[in-house]
Amino acid sequence: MIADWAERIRAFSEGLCTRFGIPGLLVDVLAWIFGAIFVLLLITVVALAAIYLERKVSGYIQSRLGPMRVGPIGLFQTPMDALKLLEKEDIVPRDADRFLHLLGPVLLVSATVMMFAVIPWDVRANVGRWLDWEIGLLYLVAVSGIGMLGIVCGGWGSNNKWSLLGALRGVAQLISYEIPLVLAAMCVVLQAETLSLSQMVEQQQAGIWAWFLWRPWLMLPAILLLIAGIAEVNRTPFDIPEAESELVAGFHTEYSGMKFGLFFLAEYTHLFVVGLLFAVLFLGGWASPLGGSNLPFEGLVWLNLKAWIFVLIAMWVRWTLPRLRVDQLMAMCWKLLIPASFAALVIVGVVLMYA
Amino acid sequence: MNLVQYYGLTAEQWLEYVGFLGTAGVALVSGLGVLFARRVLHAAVWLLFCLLGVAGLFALMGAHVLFGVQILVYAGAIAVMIIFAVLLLERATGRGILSGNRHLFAGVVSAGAFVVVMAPTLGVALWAAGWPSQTAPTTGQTNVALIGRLFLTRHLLAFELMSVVLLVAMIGAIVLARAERRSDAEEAPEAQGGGAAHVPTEEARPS
Amino acid sequence: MREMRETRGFVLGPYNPSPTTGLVDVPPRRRLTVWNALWLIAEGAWTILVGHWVTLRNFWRKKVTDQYPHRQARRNWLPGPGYRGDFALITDWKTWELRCIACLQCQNVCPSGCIHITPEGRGRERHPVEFYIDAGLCQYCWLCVEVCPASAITMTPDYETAVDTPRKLIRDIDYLRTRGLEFDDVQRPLEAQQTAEAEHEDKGE
Repeated sequence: MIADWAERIRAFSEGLCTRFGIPGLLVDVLAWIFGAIFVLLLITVVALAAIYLERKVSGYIQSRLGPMRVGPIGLFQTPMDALKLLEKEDIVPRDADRFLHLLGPVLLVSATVMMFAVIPWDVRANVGRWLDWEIGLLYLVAVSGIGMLGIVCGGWGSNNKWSLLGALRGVAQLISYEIPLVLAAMCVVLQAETLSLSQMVEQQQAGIWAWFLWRPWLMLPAILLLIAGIAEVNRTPFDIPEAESELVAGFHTEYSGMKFGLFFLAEYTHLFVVGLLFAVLFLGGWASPLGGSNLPFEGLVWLNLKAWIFVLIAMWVRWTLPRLRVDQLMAMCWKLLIPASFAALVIVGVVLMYA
Repeated sequence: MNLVQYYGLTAEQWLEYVGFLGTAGVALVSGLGVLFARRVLHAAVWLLFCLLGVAGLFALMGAHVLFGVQILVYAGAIAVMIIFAVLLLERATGRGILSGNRHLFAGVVSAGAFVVVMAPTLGVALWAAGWPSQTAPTTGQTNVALIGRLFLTRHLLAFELMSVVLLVAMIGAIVLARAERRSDAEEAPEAQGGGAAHVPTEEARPS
Repeated sequence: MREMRETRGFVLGPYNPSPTTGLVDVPPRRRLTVWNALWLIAEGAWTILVGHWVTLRNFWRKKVTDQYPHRQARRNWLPGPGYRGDFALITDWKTWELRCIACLQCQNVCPSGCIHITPEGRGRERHPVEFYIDAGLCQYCWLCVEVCPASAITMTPDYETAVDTPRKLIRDIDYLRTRGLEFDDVQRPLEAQQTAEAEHEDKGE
């Protein structure tokens, strides 16, 4: 029963291959292509849903209703906005560096999409052909660093002082907050004794009380990962790279049309990936909180639900807290989060050694 | 039509072959991009792609940890550092830095010399050891566990020495940056006439 | 005497910048021991939690949005007293004729010149034949209402005065009469003003 749908899809593509005489290993290639299509569809839907949800949440927190006009309860607002962005003229500033101006959003989006490669969507008989690598977490952290280059390219290539300032700030922030993020994730690695995300999930499979979140020594890392994760996607308490009140829109000031849309897509997709990471590390990934996973697509549903919980928390935080100043941001990271995450690492190590 | 029988390669070897061609092509083309880019910043971006291509080669060889570290350290950190340096220099000097290929001849000669030296060395080594048939370790342990164990046992000294070197470099950078600022602060009161108080008081501050 | 200084980095204490100098009254600095730092962190975490509690409460609260004109959230919604909406000429309920005596005072006093009256008759028979108000010119200054000796002209609380052509902005006498009849509870020019002023004074105290 477990994930027989995955077997069925695989059998289908195998049948397809024998029918048309495609050699056996190309089945895997076909499955990769299916997986890529799945991820692309997913990020589109996720970004649209997340933007809609963001507007609704912000409205509700401010005693408003949010978008209500386009479609029932405003459901078609974000697809229409995406269409509008597609239609708009693509303006490149005259003295901009065209190559880097184009490369910025492309790098950012591709880095974000690459992060999906190692997310374990379901039990090991997988359908999305995620890479079940032993270095899953390392890969995730490494690839998220490439996105930062997208910000630099976009900010510098625009030939605009606001963009450049935003890019410099963004990179400083991302480099700084990657440290507590990685250290908090290392605490989970110490607990699970593996870097592979799927093996981490397997250790939390037994039900809701097997989640790493409930281990007392892993609660501090969970909080740190939450904070650093929100900072990593440049969301509001930490959104100085695109601070509207100081830099017009930060590194994407000079972008219009779908390039601007790509920045948006990357932002919300990145938020979702960090949510997935949080779910995998602390909330048991695809494992059902009831223990045991029997229904088809159940793991997919659970993982998505858990990731959306993180996304909702991030939105709640965004519409509650005001933006930090640059120096406050750096002080918070270097004087508070990094010492705390080192302390957490030591605590987890000691606890695991003597327990 | 069956691709498998062509050239006596199995399907897996075909996949590896195509993957190698792809990643090596990326590395090569972007390496040439580094050489021939006019602006230094473009060269730095090409370098990023070159490093990513090399990371892909590592992944093809089954060296997954090396792949991750290559992306994390080289593509993520070194490339960002280079781009930052170029960015700040360009803004400081106020004009773009152009890279000319003035030493083309010398470069070709030294690259040729490198090939002349390395090719026989590699050839001899391969002749002595035989072409490695399997690159991934087959000891039953994962790559990560194996490397971690080696770092903390056999190569502990080298590992720690490296971290000390990095620490020294970091502290040195901080000291250099601080020293410059202190000299600025010492010169500032003299420029104002020397008598000015070092700590600005409430009265002296413009409201 | 307390030290005044500009803040940098973490603020150890209440952040109350002076409105005139922009400086912050920093309380005498305690030594930053580990326990002080931990206390500061706990304090900050507590304030953040309180903030989240506030937003969470607001999230579930009833929303204040009126989806006007898509859906009238509240029936018969009227703006507050003293609101100056569309114009009206008041009909006398005994004689069933307009109160207006066509004295032209409103036309003369109007700073925008948006009132045009064609009078007819003499003495008690004097009444307007045509009465135009150009709503596009009017600045809603209330002078015509104030000056009217017969309390005949007023502004209703009707705020839906948008039209599709500029020509329709010019209200004629029939329109104005109808408005006056439609709005039963038109703002009685003098009395309404007096009550509004009285209320304002009450609130002022």
